[in-house]
Amino acid sequence: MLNKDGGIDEYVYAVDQQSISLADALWLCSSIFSKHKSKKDNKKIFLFTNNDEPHSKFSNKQKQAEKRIGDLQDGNVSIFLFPIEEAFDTSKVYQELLMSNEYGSILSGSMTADELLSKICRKGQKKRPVANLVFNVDSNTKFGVKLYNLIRPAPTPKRMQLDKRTNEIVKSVTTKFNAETAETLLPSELMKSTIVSGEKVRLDKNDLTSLKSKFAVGFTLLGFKPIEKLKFHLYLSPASFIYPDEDLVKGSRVLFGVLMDRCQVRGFAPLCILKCTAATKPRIVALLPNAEQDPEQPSVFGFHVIYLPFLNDVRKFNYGDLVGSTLVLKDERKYVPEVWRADRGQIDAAVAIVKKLSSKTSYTPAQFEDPALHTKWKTLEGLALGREDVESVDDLALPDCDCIDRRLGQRSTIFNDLVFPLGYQSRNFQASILTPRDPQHEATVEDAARNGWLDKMKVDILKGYLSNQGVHGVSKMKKAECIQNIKLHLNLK
Amino acid sequence: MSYAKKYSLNQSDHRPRTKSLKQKNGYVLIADIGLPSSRLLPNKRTYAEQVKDCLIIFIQQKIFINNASDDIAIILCGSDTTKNSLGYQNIQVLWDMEKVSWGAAKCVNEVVRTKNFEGDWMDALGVALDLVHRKVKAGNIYESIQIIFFTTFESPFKTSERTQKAYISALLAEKTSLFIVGSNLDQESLEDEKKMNKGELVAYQLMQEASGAFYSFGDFSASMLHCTEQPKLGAPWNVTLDIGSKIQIPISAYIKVKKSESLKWSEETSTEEALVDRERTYQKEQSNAMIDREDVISAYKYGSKLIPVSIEEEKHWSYKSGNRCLSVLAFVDPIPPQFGSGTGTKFIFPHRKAGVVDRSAQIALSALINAMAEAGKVAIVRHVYNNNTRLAIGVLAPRIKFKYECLVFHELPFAEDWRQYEFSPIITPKSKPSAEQVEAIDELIDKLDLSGAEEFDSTKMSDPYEEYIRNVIGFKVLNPDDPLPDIPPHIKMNLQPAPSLMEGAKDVLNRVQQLFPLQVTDNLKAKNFETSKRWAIPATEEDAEIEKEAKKTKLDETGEVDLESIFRTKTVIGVGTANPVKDFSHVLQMGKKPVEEVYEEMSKVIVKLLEDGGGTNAALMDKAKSCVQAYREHALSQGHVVYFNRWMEQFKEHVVSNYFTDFWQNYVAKSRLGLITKEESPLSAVEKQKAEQFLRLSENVNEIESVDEDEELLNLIE
Repeated sequence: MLNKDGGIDEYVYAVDQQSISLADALWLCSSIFSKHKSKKDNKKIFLFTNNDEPHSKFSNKQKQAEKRIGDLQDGNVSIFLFPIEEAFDTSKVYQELLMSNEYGSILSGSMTADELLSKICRKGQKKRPVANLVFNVDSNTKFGVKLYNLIRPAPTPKRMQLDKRTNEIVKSVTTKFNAETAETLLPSELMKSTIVSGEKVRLDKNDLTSLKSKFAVGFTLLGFKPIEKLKFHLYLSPASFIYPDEDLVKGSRVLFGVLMDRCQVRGFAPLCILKCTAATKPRIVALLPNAEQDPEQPSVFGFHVIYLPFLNDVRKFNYGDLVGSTLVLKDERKYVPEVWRADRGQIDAAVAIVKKLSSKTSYTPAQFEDPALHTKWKTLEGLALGREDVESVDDLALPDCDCIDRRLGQRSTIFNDLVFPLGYQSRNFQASILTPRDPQHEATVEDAARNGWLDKMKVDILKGYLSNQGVHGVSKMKKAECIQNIKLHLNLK
Repeated sequence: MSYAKKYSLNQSDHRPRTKSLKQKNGYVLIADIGLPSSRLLPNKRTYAEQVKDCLIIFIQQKIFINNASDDIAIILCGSDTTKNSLGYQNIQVLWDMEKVSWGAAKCVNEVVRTKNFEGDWMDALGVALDLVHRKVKAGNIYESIQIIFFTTFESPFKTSERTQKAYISALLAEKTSLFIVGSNLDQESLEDEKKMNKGELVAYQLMQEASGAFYSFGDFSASMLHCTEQPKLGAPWNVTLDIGSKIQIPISAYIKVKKSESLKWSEETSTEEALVDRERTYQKEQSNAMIDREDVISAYKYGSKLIPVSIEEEKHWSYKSGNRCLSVLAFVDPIPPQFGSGTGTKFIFPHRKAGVVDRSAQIALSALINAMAEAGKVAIVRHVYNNNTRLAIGVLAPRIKFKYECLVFHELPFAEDWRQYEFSPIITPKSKPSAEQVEAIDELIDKLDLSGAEEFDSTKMSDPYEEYIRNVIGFKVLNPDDPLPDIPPHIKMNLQPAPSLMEGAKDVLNRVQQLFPLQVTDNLKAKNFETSKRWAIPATEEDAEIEKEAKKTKLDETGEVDLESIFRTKTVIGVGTANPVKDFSHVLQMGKKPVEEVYEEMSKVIVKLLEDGGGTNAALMDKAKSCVQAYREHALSQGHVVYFNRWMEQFKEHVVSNYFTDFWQNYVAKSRLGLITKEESPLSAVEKQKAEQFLRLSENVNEIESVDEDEELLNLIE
């Protein structure tokens, strides 16, 4: 058994069937937990077994095990049972043992290794709320909710800094000093300023941060709106999720439950003001009831919190400029613009394509792994373990053009012939793709540099050259700076 | 009928949009500050004060929108000063038709108050028309011109049919509209012209000739305050939408939704307004020794193993996303809104270059959009913004409107971004709600339905926080030395359910309260009761009174807000730097944490205080001293002497290595807060002499300490 510090603790375990004791195993678990005291961690026990009845029902050992489980659960330890055999009968012992409270759960039996692994991974994620908030129905009625972020960018391995010579960890420290007197400044000696229409406004740093905290944290119910009337096409930021919090307000579960159930049944979404933490600004959110019970997926009951944009967040479009139209005489007097649209035949050709490329399964986020992240993980693993070659990563988000072309067959040609005029080439793109960073420019650039022609070359080619050479901050450079940098790079004067 | 709506109606281009010229609007504000303006309004403010507020709000809003390019003029009617080119008595041009600026707001703030004169509002209108006329003659082009009157038309005025005709033709010539704010005109008086006074009648006739409207003060400032500028069309992202290798539709994508950016704040020094420079240095994490930038390389952690990786190497092996692209992977059923990722929404239109839309692209896109809509499908796409930039997957959904057709794009999460937690059913067979409970919630939904006549729509509301920031800035410009203003009521209103709706739902809300027993636990009280209380609007007037009283008594006791009384309601959970000594004794008293842990927290606070003060800030050092004192006293009284002494030695080391010598000599040594000696406690093994020596700092600190250690060892052996 591996302990936290990387060393190995030894434990004696029994071999023969008779002396196996579930209670002992659990006791071992609790002693490990008590050894590694760390308050914030979630404590979990994964119990893998193919034995659905470790002890006979009223035996001593069974009683001991029951007691142990009770103790562990009292100490906030969650216990997950992973039944290994198909014929595993949970009702014999475990059902009663584990299902009595929220700290225990039994996963469905008969799993393949892959399924098992993904389930373990899922259980291994720490289910930690971002915030515990009050939901104000009105000034007299409030209940508690836990707010989770179910979709947020996965953390990438963090880059850290080392001393090249000793491999010691190095931290970077930013010191601020007065640009005129070069004195070092303390945080209390700094102010924030902004210029609005020629007038400088100065605010104390704390005052500025306190502005946001003047708004109350929590949910405030505004009312309800039919779900189909919400403008979900104006997506703003990743959603959150809420679940009742009994620890904050007793009785939250019942009110939350009924509210969700009625909204679900009647197709309504509560609209609220939400201020999540002291540092966020108030936003308007729509709550989408979600009652999902798919035996293959973990059940998800609660409200999805969808953030809605304010007027300031939505760009104003003059659609007349963005789509082409023809002026048509209408009512014999007025000319009315009529948007160019595809005709029936063209739409049918497109329908054939859409149907042919339609997937039978609906989308879930689990379908696409991030190849960039996996490449990083795999490479670091390879480097750490000194592997010669690194496993390649499948890019699932790369369209398989051959396959698509094959499936579409004649359909794509038919579509192209119908919508595009003969010999149509979009003049604007074909040429421009991937020229600037093309390595073949390298020689040209270097030539030009030696002959002093750099200023006659295009900026993006210069920039492409520089970034290929590993120079930083290229995107912000002006042309003159690019030229300077190239000369510097090639040691030219 | 809001001002904003009217205003946009008027805007409907009477002049062709000229691209080369900046579009600006002209406003002439005429404020009557003569004798009648001393009258008190129902809100216990004088008419003049109300006008002043309106003027300032107006100017402030114009500064924040349309790039502050609008022109504004302010004319005071009934002023003690006479200043206008037409020589009319008691008409003062306070601010000549100029670009709007804070100067105008400051000027209004200083000058506008009731004067004991009377001015002829017709004269003022004449001056206004003259200003506009001269400005237009000088070559200024306005998209719209508005003259806004703040008067009750109670002062005497001269008029003749000829002047009126002349004014009307002048108004029409410049396409100027006329607005009247804060008069006694209302819908009722309009129906019966006899109810109007003479001035009102003439003004009303003028207003009807020129386009315009009238407003109450409340309507005017409300529509001004919530008037926000919508961000405009940004630069397009041009690419082809690919389906396989054969089909390529050229498109231009525009950002439709993105979190708006607040004002940018820069840092400067508090004393003189000098800029702040930054320098980044590198220190070893353990010894704090400085090292050169050249010697720093980046690395990753694999478990506990460190893997040094140079930037070039990393560039070599990291994932390459390839060319910029928007390629269809498959068509699927519509995706529920909770699966959004990324920072906003883009709308995808046919490719447009130099203002010309590619017709073939539009037809192709239209065919695809309509096909997707008919099949009820959306497209999953690969999205790479630029060559080898971050790869994202996203969704394209069809959107068909009368005026346009487009595809709506937003990003989707990868598998790694999705946390599949389990949330068990909330209503279980055991906890079935009662029929009354279900009924009450159903009624609540009906009563608070927001899809009624005035449908609630967040995209028509301006961001309350941004509004507040503007309010603060406007306030700071006029009153630089005053404390920050609270959230003004009009912004608070936006963060609450509509009062009329709540009034209608009063009964059902009461029922909900009775049917669902809810009990707030201590956790909540401790967590955010204070913050919510500070803000929450008291439910009844009685509550408000009680709260006011409570606040008063808090203030009365000491003359300032008693921090302790606020802290008392909060549960202290650890020692913080704000009030460490109090926290320390409080946490120890509660006895929820082991003593060692509290000591540990305290010592961290002491070190932090010193570091924050840089070892020179007297106030922080004094605080740190009292912390050491409290710590020492507690350790002495509770017999944790050895623990304290051990810490003290570490602490001294820390003090010496960070050069907080000033602190040591003037605070620790002076107050004799060193090791606890044998004399003080029988548990200690430290001789008095040694303690004395310990308090002294010598040049060669290390030597003394090594001696100390030896002695300690000896003591232990004994």
